[in-house]
Amino acid sequence: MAEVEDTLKRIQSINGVIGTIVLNAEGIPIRSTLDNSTSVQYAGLLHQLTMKARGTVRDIDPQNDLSFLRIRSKKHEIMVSTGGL
Amino acid sequence: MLQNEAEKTIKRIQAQKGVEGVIVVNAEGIPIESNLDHQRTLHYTYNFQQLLARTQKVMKDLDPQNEATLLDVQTEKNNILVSTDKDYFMIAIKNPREGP
Repeated sequence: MAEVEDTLKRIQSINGVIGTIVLNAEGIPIRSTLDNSTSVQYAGLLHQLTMKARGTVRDIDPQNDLSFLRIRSKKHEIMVSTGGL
Repeated sequence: MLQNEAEKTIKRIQAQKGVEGVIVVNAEGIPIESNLDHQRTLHYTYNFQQLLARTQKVMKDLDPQNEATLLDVQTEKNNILVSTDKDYFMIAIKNPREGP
């Protein structure tokens, strides 16, 4: 558990990182550096999007799977690591 | 018919080592350029157009003034980049083990 905490701290301390959210398998935020309503909003929308992305990948190749999703936008960049879940 | 500049750029990317395919899709959702076979082109176009549309919806929900410009889908086998500007989008499929 300490290793997870250290990793989260390290990521959050990188210059430019606005927020970090950890979601469980159900898409519920279990750790976050952002306020509750923002965390819940991001978690909900990005969990769904990640599931859709995974579906797209599997549709093209059932033997393949999603490992990482990065969305670059005009204002910032969102990175989603699926870590096998 | 693509502009000469655009065509040169696309050919350059397609020729890069590790790049499996490049598809350019117009505002009507029709692939206008691809170096993959027809079936794969349509399959990728349809699937990633849907995913891109969903991504844009998510971005607008989070911030109405914002929008996605690049979607980077990393999988176990490869990497699919979907780049968008106005109504066109470009899909590039990269194999991570080859290339620079």
